[in-house]
Amino acid sequence: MTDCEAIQERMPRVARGLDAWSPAEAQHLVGCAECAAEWRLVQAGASLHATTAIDMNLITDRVTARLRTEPVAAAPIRRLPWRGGLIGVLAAAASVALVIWAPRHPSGALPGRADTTLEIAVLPELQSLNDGELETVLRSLGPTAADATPGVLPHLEDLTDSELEQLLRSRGNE
Amino acid sequence: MLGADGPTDPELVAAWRAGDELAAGQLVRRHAPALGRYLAANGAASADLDDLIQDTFFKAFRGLDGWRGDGSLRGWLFRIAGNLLKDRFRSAKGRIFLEIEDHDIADASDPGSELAADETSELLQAELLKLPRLQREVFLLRVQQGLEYAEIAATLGSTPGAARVHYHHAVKRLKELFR
Repeated sequence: MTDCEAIQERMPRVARGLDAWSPAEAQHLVGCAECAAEWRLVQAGASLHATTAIDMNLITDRVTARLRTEPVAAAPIRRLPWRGGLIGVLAAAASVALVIWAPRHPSGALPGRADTTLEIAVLPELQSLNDGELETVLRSLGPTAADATPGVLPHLEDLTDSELEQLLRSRGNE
Repeated sequence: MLGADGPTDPELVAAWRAGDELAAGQLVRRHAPALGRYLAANGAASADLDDLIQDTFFKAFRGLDGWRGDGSLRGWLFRIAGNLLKDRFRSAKGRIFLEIEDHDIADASDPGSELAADETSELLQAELLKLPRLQREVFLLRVQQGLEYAEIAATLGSTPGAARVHYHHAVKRLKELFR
């Protein structure tokens, strides 16, 4: 290490008052333009913003108040880097499927399902009735409804929803 | 930091974790002035200093698990403060740099102004802000804050050798102001 390098290495410590130049080093600084310029730079850098004004009491109070009042944040959910892309692809696929599917089924019916599904949907309240209530409904449709369909009422529980629906409709049309 | 006249940083951290709120206050008072100088020299607007320091400490206390205790607490605070300032610059898109250049640089044509009294510092500050961020931070950590290369490397997530190179590049450029 040359004299210049050794002196330059120590400049920050001397500038901060943690060390001092020897007489030989001080003499070197007088005669070496490179070291002299760097020494002036380091001195200026060491005192840069030495008088920066901050409100110590305000900062201390606010930090301690925040630590008291603001809850510790939960650990952030680690998002997979491809998560956003995957969501985009799925959304695009769903859009394409909708475009292809919608013109073929303009009524909104799902493919492969019987029309009875829609018919039941017309009278959804029937689905919540028990046998006794259904019987009451049938009887209310006509004074002879139950008698005219012998054997029907004892086996109501055997009927499917669509059969019940058809039965009610037929009675309603009489 | 060794506590020549009080508890060390690790002792204060342990005390705060044990519920001693005053320990947090002591740490703030111990390190806030250095943080303020460092942030100001890095280009933080004076109006933002208190908030930046406050955010730095809050983030540090909330993330103490991330401080292993082998590096200095002050170095770790510098790292958090630097990242916060970088985020602020990014969101302001350079507005803060311009603000300092517009208002704080000495006007040599007006020898009577207060700013002209400290022209050297002002010129150095202006030149510092033109340096690449790592060169500026290494220079300030070494010259203004007195950190050794190993500690600078730990603070900036670099190596001592790289820190030394950044320092010499910064000095080579800044030295031109003082010839």
